[in-house]
Amino acid sequence: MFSYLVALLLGISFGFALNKGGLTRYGNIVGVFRFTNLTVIKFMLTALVVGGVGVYLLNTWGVASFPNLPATYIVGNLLGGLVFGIGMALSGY
Amino acid sequence: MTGKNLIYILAVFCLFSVCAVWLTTGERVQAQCTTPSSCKTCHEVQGQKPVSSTTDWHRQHAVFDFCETCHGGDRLAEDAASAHLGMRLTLAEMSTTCKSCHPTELDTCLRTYAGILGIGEEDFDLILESASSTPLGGASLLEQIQSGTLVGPQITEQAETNVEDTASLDWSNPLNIILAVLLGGGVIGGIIYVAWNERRLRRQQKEGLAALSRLVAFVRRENWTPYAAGVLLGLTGILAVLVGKHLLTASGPVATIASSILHTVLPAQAGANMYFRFVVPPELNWSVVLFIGIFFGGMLGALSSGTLRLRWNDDPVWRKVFGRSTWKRILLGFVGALFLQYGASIAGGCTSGLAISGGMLLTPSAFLFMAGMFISGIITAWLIYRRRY
Repeated sequence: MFSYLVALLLGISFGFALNKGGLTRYGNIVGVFRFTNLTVIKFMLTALVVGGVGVYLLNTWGVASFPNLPATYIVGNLLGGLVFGIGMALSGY
Repeated sequence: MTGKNLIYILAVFCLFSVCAVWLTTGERVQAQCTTPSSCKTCHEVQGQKPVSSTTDWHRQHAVFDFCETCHGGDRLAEDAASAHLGMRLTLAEMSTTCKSCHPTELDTCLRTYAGILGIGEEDFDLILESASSTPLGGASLLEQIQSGTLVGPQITEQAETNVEDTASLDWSNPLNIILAVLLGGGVIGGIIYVAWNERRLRRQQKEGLAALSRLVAFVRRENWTPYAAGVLLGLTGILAVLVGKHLLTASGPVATIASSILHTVLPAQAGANMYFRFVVPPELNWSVVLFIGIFFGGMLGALSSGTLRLRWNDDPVWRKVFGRSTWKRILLGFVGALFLQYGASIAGGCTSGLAISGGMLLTPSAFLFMAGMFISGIITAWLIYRRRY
């Protein structure tokens, strides 16, 4: 039950960040593919860097271990990304 | 935002959550593989004893994440020793598990693999008869028939426990010291600068609660600078790993909810489908709860900036390019979402689950995915907007 509560709170924080970062707006998502609006890149890479530094530090200190890493299948990841990009540019979500 | 709209949105969402909870508390399937497993991570991706191309059997079955279904062991264990506890290595031990995936075509399957299983034609009827009365996950079928005389080709060598321990930081390496000095210097310098700047600002406007009110005003702004929002998401991702022991995802739960609906509406077809049966089994899991939280979080964000209201199509960029038609927006959104979910399912995650969560763990998959996403996104956007940039 506790883990579900954690999930709910983290989800709220996640959604809040997405909303404030402007990732819920069509113009921002499509703008990144048209090179007119780089909000998505700034947002994603900031999150990636902050999260990465934090997670690796926690791991080095032995506080937290990595959860299951997303598996790497070169063709699958790339192909999925290609299909995903089409959807992203079409729908703007 | 009007009160009426808020009530409307809340009502729709409550209905949706109730349906999701009701649907997902139904059937639970025996084998569950919701995340890429550690079996494949070590054996295939890292290439420690890869099996996916060794025999016909594995060639045909290793496409999905089914190692545990036949071999047992603990898929989610973090070290090699406990991951290999209780493993089934002989085919005689695991033959009943055929039925859990192939309930209707057991006969054909048995014939195909009779050679490997070491059984003759005369045993088929017995096996099939017994299989129809054996509950899933029951005692070994072939053991019942031939009382242990049957032994398939055994995997004799136990997988070695040679997964290396996480390397600790090596302080004798000068590069690490330089890096630490740089990092420490940056952090300390940043703190000093912030403290100095704050004092300067406070001197400028001597108000008691200025900092707090500025914070509130910042939170209430509709558009944060993406860097601030990114930091918040990064911290959320760290907390998810630290407290939740999960990664943030947004496409997985969609597939899980779809699987729940399928299992309720068309139980036979969904049960026969490998993807909906094993990869995204119907259940109320951590990610689904997270997904519900995302909905509320987005709403909270809009509420805090006073922009929460029901709207179909009022994005200025869209309107400028495609006009005011709402159905066009809905149609393109739907078609795009099909691509999104399909692509995410192939890749094993979406922008959040794979690109951000995987990226912060520096997995190659995340960067491959991002490359693909931007390549096709840029091309698609160029095709759509060519004359309307």
